[in-house]
Amino acid sequence: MPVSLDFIGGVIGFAFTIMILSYLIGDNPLYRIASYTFVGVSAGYIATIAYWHVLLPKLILPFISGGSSERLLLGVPLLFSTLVLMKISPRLTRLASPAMAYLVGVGTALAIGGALSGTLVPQFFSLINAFDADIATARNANFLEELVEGGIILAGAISTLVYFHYGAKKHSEDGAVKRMGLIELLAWVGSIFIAITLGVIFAGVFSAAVTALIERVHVVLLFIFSLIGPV
Amino acid sequence: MRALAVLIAVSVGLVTLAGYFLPVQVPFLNLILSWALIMAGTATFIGVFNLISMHGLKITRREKGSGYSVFLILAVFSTFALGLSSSPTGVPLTFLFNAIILPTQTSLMAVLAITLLYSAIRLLRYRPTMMSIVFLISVIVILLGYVTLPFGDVPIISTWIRPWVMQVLAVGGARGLLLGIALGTLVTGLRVLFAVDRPYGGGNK
Amino acid sequence: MNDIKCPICGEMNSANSETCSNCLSQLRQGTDALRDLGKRPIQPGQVPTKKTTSELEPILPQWLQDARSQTSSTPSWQEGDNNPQINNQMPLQQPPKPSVGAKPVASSGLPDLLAGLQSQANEEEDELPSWLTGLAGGVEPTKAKPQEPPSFGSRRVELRGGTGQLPPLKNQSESAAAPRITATQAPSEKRGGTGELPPWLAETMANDVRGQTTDDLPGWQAPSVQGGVPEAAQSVDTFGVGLAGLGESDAPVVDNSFAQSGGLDWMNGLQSAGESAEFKDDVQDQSPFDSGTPDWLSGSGVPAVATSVSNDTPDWLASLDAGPAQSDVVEQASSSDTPSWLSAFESPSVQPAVVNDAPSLSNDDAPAWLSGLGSEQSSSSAFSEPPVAPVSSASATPDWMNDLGSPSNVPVVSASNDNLNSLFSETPDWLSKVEGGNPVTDPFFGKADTSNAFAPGTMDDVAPADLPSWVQAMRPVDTSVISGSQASTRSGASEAKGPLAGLQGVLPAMSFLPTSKPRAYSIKLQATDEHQGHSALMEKIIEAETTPLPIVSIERVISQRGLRRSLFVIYALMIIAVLLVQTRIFSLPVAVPIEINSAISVAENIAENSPVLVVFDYDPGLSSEMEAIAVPLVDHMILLKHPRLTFVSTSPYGDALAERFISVSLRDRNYQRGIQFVNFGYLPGGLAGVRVFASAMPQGGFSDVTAINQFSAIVVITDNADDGRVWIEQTNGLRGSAPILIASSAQASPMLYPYYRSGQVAGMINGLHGAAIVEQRNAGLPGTARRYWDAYAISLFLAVGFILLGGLWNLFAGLNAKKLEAQ
Repeated sequence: MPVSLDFIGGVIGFAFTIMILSYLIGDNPLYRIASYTFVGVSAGYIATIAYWHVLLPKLILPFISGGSSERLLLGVPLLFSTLVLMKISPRLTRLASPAMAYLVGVGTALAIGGALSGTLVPQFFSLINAFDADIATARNANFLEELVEGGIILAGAISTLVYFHYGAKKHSEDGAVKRMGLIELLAWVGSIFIAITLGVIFAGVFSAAVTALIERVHVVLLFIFSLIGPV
Repeated sequence: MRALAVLIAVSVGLVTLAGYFLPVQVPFLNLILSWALIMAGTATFIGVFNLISMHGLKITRREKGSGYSVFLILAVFSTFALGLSSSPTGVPLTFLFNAIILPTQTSLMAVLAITLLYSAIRLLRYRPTMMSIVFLISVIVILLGYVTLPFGDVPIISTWIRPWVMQVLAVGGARGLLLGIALGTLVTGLRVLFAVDRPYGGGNK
Repeated sequence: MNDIKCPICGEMNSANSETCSNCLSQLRQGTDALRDLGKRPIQPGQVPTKKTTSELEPILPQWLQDARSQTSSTPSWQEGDNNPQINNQMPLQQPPKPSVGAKPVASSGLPDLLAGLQSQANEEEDELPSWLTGLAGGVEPTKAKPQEPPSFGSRRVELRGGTGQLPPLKNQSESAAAPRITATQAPSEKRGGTGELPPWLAETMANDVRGQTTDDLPGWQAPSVQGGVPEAAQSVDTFGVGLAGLGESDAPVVDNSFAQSGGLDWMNGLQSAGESAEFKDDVQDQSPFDSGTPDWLSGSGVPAVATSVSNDTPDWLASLDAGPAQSDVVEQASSSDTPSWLSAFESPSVQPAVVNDAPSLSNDDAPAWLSGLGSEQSSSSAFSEPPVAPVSSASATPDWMNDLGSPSNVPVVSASNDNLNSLFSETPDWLSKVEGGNPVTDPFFGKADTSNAFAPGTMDDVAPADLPSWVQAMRPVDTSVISGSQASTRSGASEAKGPLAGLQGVLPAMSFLPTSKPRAYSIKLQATDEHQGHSALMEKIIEAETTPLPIVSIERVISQRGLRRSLFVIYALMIIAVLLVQTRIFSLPVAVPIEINSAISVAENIAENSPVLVVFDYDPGLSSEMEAIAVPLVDHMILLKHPRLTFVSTSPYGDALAERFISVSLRDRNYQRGIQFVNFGYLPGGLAGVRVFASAMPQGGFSDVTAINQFSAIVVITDNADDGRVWIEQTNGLRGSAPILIASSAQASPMLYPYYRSGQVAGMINGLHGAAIVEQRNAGLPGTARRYWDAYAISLFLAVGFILLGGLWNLFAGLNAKKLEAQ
């Protein structure tokens, strides 16, 4: 009976699933072997993807088959890529500073631009627009409902921001460091909003994890029944 | 070298940032960004190399648990070799992906489910605070809102409370967090662009 | 009844004698009158009160503290009389009466520093060297014999005493005049310390060697020992020129006496030269401190020769109460333990000055030399003595010495008052007063400013100043001046050669190493209360969040592990049972949230065969959930509009996930690569990759799609809120009217929902709950949500039950435990 690659893959997958789930019983060598192997395979996989999707099509092939102008332009990333690799050696890591600076500069600018144009401005406008009756009317929404919801969201956003405000003064009476009364109140409200938000996130993570658990149990059952017969 | 790094970071950053707000030549901007992509791809190998070197050192020193590192290094090289031998969508990588990566990661998520439930149960033992109570109430409401009964949605919770919590209360907190993140990104980024912070090895002022 | 030994000449006299039969000096020079001053404000001549000097250590300048600490360590050269190092380094140390002279120097030169030295000296009760003892018997005191300056300090004290401006010896030792002495002493010592005597000194020595009675004594000392007046004068002159200048106003007396004695012709030359050049402004360039300062001198420490006036000060000294300084002089000169030969040096040392400059002695009881000290002429004329030139040469002078020797600090004439004040910036006010009335001159180096010169007439005009507390504390506590004198005499190091050879404890007995140690500046962060408040609050918050809770016991760990295992077993059994039975007990969600409705609406309203961008930004670990969400959505679009799909991912796994998605999950749709779908695969660089993709679509896609805004919809399948946010932000302004649909994991939806409310996202489908709704709209295909739904619902119900019950249980258990702990 020829053994298909899918079957082998199923066996390996089953084995790795059991080995990982065995952690719930307790830490054991099987779990460690599976986790170490998984990390190794993932690293090799990522390196392979980087080679196939980045180095080969964007650097190597253009440098080999490209024109002189293209090669000239590729000189910069080639140089910088070489410098980036200098970080492997602690002695030469200083040489990587320009290349890392390049990456940091680009990444920082993109983060600023994205945060400003994609989050800050739109989210602020969203906070404001909740109190615009015309917009509510245009959306066929109940303005009063929009007003209440917008007010709550505004309160939540502000109080959440205030929660992370660390400005405080030392009270001369007892020397305790406290925030201003209003700030303290808003921070308390913000903590409630944050708790609710984190609760929603926690529920979502648990929901996703339960889905994964169900899927894994289902796969295991399928594999078992594939061995003993159709389910 | 340090001054060069600062110069590069500031100049490249400003040019890139200008692309959001000024009619900068898109090809030029894309050229800068594409170079960054190549470098980022190259940087991937640094991470892999560090992983290999760390575990290789562990093996050579015969540290505790170094036997597991053997599995790791073998996995790295074998996967890389198999990957180079074909293509990203070739059989070897697909096989490794479906046989090892996907089952293992999913299993880890399954383990996470039990761990999260356990931690939620034990939370009030160690943190019996108002925030913890609100947190757990929120969790319960959302979970009840996600599920259904044999005859349909959970009354009130699924139809009114959960949507309202998710669409209003949680949005309020999430928006505050997003604004905070954006503001933090803005400030931190400006510090880098003004060379006040130099996370690229140029030292901090 | 014991005989009384003359403190001056050493002659033994009967016990009831008032004056020495030999030299007519006062035999009893008591200081009893000085001790009854009570606790009134300290005045010159007042007995110091007890005070622990260590209490005042912190107020000392750092360099003084360092010096004191170095002194405390007592270098080797300081400890022994026969230490060759000392002998080599201090050739000029020859105080015949170091007990008298050294203490004022030590205590007054550097009030704080020298106080320590003095105390240290008191601790060293070395015996007098044999040579000194021998000298005591061999000396034939001569009344008119000029006293050889015991030391720079001693000379200064004598002269000061003569001025009547300074307190008696004990006060003097603490007086602020000391700094001046120290300042002036250093160069002289330095000069001698080199071991290479200047020509003038060599000449002097050559003249004196003839009369030297002891081989140990340098030549310059011999005349004084032999009592020959000219020789003594020469020897004094040696100091008068070379050393006495280190003293203050009195030094000129000596110098003048020397000049008057005519023993040294070179002196005259020096005098004139000094007057003309060196001791005026020009002298600043030839600061004695510029001369090669020997290392030992760099310490500038005054020899640890604390001196004190004997308790049994001769009575004649009591008559000098009106002029405390005079009594001081007498006290110094009348140390009962002072060898007779040394005593013989004392009075003569001043007497010539009196003879020369003072018309007459005003006090019959006092020795002539003492009275002469108070004469105006003596001081003024003495200040005109300028024998200094030989001293300078500039190299190798430590910094502090340079400072001392800088023009402003050269203790010359009247200007030296200010200079000295600047030198010792901490000079108390009372000292300034004293200095004002008692011009600080450096007869050694410069000519006294006659306008400000010390004069007898000004002696009494100077009101006794109140000593500051720190000076008071530095004052010797022991009232036994004699004992201190003895101690100082015995403790100092003996000089082997040079003009001071054979003398003991004359030169600084401490190592004041020059240091270029920079001033220490505080690097303490200047934080205001507000800053500290912010910091404290931040720390408080962080601490509250990060403080780990200690594991109470192993039993608890075991119970935790058991609970976790129990939960796993329960869940595993339940899921297996549900999946095996394939129940359909729980209904799928009925109510459709608005965001899901919007997403479905967008999916249904895209144009036929329009390009749709599908972003696979999730990890394989959540592929079950994500595929359960995305497959029905995309399948719904495929079934309705047959869009051309373009796959892309910023995750390295995205390529494989996309292939799996299209080839496994949507296998039944038979989408053709390159025709109906394109997989761009992995976009490296995160933000940059998305931006580049949004700015310029890579080649290899559909020919009619060259920009991101040409897609009819953008479906972002993500399990990470940050990844979703990146796509929203980086495509902002570039995607045009292309709507974004987000198929997100339940864990990412809360953080992405604000973008839906802001209108940046057209629709959202979250978690298995949303997948079940979309699946219903897609005719129940592919059925993944339905297959998992019962197990999913039961799992969540179980979770809610566990959290409720377990949470309440743990809440009360925790409260109970705290209560028990509190009890």
